[in-house]
Order: sequence, then structure tokens, then C-alpha cells
Amino acid sequence: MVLSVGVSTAGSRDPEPRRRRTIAEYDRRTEREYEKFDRAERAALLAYLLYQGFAQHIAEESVNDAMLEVYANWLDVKSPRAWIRTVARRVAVRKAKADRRSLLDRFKYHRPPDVLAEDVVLSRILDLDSDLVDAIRRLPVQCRSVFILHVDDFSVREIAEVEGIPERTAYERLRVARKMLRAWVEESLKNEEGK
Amino acid sequence: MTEDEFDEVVKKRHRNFVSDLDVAIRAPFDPVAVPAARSAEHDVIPRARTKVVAGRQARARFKTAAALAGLVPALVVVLLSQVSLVPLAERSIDCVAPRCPVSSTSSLVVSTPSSATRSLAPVNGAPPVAIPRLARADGTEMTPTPLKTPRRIVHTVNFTADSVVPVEGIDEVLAEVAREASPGSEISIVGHTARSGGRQGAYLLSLRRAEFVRDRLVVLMEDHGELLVTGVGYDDVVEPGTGVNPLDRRVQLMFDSFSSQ
Repeated sequence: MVLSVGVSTAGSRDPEPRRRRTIAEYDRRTEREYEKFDRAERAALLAYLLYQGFAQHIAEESVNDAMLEVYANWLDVKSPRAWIRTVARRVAVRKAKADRRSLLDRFKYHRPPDVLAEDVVLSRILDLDSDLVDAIRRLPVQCRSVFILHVDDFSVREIAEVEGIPERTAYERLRVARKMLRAWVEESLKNEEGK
Repeated sequence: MTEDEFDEVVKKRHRNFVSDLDVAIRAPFDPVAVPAARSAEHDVIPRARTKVVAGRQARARFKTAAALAGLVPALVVVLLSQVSLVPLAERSIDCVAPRCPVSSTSSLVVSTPSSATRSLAPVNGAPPVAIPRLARADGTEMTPTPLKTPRRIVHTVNFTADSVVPVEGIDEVLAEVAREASPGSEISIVGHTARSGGRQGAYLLSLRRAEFVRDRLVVLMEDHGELLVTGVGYDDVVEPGTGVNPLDRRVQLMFDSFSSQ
């Protein structure tokens, strides 16, 4: 029996053509493993994009696209947690640019927004945790990326690989982020004690 | 506070946040009715539908036209030879026949009597024009009908640097908008900033400026329609490539008017 799994070779250095994979290859990481990964990472990935400052609808769409991308490349990806974050961020940047263009079109041509639906539950959660999200969004971009990966339990070595920076730089950015967030954390602790 | 304590507090908040998000993602989805996007009517001039001919029929028509095009010069040469006093044999060979003879049997008839002209209403402030009445030989009307096109009216309110404080004269501009805009009409309020500072900050500032103008307009105009508030930062400056321009610190109010002025 031969299973066909779509493998995208776009952007990879190995120009290996699309090929059929055997069931033995497919067994290495099964469908169940992917579902487990999806369950564990989808919300964390959404939080990752929201911390980065992307709008809610862009973050949600980018998470879906990135999950599809990781599914298509499941057998080739060595560390899916790091890989999907890089992919999701690139997809979100692309979508944000397109969204900005559509915003310009909208007022130039008097078009009302195409989609008015809003996920009320998600908005409510964002309101509840707005202090956390706002505090992280206020960090400088480079420190923010490193710090978000840090709270996602990435080691410094993994952070350096994902960001493409030396480990020493990752340490330094983490230190700056901690210093900038210290006042917010202390205030947060006081509020918890007050409650 | 040590680094470990700091990390513990932040990671705890993060885990709670992710857990909440997970609940929201797994929640059953309620479908929401989304209205269809309205097309931009006034930006597109409607054209008459033409029949699309394709495939075998098109090829047959092309062959017929090509055959007729080959016959026309020969026919003209024969006609000229009959009219001319010089015999055909004595004429020079490099005589070129007109390729597109104009005759009274042309399919399009153009007549311009004074009673047959149709005046077009002014569109976007253009002067009124009189176009000739066009008709085919079989009487088919060819004259274009005037379109009722709205005029796009744009008013601008300028602001001082890095602030939501408008320069003087905002009340006069808004009063004019309230007078010109028809009741219930949709008004776009678009905020802009000069090209300086961060892009994200520029978006926020432009949005705040637009919201400021909206709040003032709501007070002045009771029967307003939908107000579309947008902030575009410095994505749409007055003169691109000129650096910081004070005229970019503005809010534009745009609406359509069908009144003939």
C-alpha cells in the first residue's frame, strides 16, 4: 500500500521532486502524532502571534495556514514547534500587508468591510488578559520575539536557532526584556495579593 | 525578585492565557450572516452587453470578412476604370486604390441638427457637452445615454504636529459638510499623518484624529448616515517623496453628492 502525502519543495534547498511515500515512511510520524501536535500548539501559536502585535483575525488565519503548511511538510520537518512559529510569522506579515492594502481600497472605493463577523469569545479573553498582551507588545521587536519564545519554554539555544542570532545575543535581549517587564510583573503580583 | 521568580510569574500568566485561548478555539462555531460586499457603482461606467462570438462561428466570420476585404480594392479599381476616360490598359501599374472608400452606403450615419443633440449633465464638475445623435442605417440608436454619476466631495481638516489638535477653521468645514451631505449618506472619515516617526504610532495617531473629527461631526449633523472611520498613517501622503509635509497632517471627509451644482 502506498500513501500519497503532498510535500511542498518551495523554498527548500533540496530540489527533491514531489514523490510518493511508503507506509513505512509515513509510520514514523503518524496522523495521530500530528493531531496531538495540533491540539498542543494551536493555542500557543495563536498567543505567539497576538503577542507579536498582529490583529486577531490575521493571527487566526495565519495559524490555520501555518498548520496546513506543517501538515504538508510533516515528514520533513525536524523540529515542528520552531518551524511552525517561523512560518506563522511570515504568513501573518504577508496577510497584514494585504490587509492594509484592502483597507486603503476600502476607503478609496467606499467599500464596507467584507467580513463583519467577530469571535466574541476570543475578544473577551483578549480583554481579560490585555495587560499581559499589552506589556509584551510594548517591548522592542527584537526583545519581544526572544521573550515570547522564552515564555513558550524554548531553550536559549533553540531561540538562537529560530531567530538566527548568537546565543549571547539571545541572552542579552532576554535580559533587556526582563528589565523592561519587571515593573509590570511587580504590579501584577500586587494586584493578585490584593485580590 | 530573582530571574526564576520572574519567569514563574510570567509563564503562569502565559499558561493561563493559552489555556483560555484553547477553550475559545475548541468552542463550537456559530455561523454569522455576512452581508455581501457592495460593488463600487460610481467607479465603473456600465457598458452595453456585447455578444461574445467564439470558436467555429468566429472563424467563419473572420474568413468572410477577409474575403470581402480582398474584394473591395478590386471593386474600386473596376469602378474607377469605368468612370475614367483613360483606358484601363494604358494606366500605370503603381496606381493605388483607396482601401477604405467612403460612400453613402456606410453603415454609420452621423447627423448633427440642432434639435437632434442631447446634452449631458455635468459629471464631477465637468462643463455640459452636446454630443451628436448617432444612429445606424437601420435606425438603431447609438447615442450614449447620460449617466447619473455622483460627485465625490472631499473636505479636509488640518491638524498640528503630533497632536489631535486641529488648526483653526474646523467648525466651518464641518458645517459645510453637514450642509452638503444628504441626510443618511455614508461619509468616510480618513485620518492621515506626516511621514515621521514609527508606522504603528502613525496609524494610531491618524485613527485618533479621524475619531476626533467624527465626534465633532456627530454633534453638528444629527441626520448623518454611516460614518466610516479609518486611520491610514502616512500610507497616503499628499506628495510622495517630499519628506515631512505639514499638509499631510489631515483628516479627509469624503462623501457622494448627486445634487447638480
